[in-house]
Amino acid sequence: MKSDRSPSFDVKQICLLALLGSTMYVLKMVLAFLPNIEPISLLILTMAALLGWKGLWSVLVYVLLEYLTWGLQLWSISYLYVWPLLYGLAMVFRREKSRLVQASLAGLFGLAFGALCALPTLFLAGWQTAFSWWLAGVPFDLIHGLGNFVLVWLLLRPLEKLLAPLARRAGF
Amino acid sequence: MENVSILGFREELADGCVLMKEEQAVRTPVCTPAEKEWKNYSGMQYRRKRKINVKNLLLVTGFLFCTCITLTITLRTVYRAGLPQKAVSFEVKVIHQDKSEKDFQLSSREAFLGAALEEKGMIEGTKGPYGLYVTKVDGEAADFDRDKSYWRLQINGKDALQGADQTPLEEGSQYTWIYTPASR
Repeated sequence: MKSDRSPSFDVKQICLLALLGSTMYVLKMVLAFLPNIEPISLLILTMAALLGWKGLWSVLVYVLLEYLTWGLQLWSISYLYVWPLLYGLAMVFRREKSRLVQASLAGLFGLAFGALCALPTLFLAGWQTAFSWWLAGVPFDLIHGLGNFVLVWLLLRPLEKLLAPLARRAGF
Repeated sequence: MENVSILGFREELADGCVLMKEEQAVRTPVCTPAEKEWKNYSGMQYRRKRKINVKNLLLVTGFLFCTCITLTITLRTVYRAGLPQKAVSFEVKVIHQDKSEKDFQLSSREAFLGAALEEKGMIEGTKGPYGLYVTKVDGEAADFDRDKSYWRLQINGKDALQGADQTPLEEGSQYTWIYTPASR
């Protein structure tokens, strides 16, 4: 009994989504030596442009891999909504032609990352703790935001060109 | 000669809109070729108008705005860290094993209690994974491994939540070290 509304996947698509999810994880690990420079936002923007909503599954694969590596802690809660939120925003801007707009989206997300991750602290420990926690991380948010902006500005179009045939072959 | 120059210009622009205007100009020659070319160059009205998208504009300005805010906070933090610390005067009270009390009026430029007291030779300790573990205060040692006694730190009468090396020095605060024997 399959309802018409449930998205159907074929084997190629499932493989591609899994591989993209693990690629996100590996690339993040490779760039881990640079503080807060991460390729996840860039890949999420690319996947939203090429794969549509189905690409959200690879984000979940990535989050699962992070959980398996680091274990469940307070940040695990924030990962459940932070990356899907970026995916949703990327879907809104997926047909955007201007590089500046897409790079700004990634940059803004990077700058807001600390504030978004402070939300669980806000509910568990009150606004003062959450605020000081956010304030202590602001320099890292700045690096995150500017890093995202530059990465997306430089690499989004080449990456889209690179991955488009792959996505087409998998039937997206 | 006139046609060549106009043709050349057409090719350069390769824009339908400009082409039409030029053809009109050729049909009604009211100015010299040089003037015509200048009109074409300065003809800003031929450019395609760019639609401004409110959503995009908000996003880009939002990014710039947030960048400015975070940059300001970061620069302030860096600037403050570079400033020499003001001397802070504070009180340290030591309650020894024999319940004798000693008061010290101290001042220091250090940011944290642990560093300030270590500098004055008032406390000794070992650096562990959780920070400084204080073993000796005012010449008296508490050996937890031997008899489960330890030096307890209070800030203004309340138990400290962090070690001495993470306790910030505050003007006028009272820091109390209490020799605490094993609780039975």
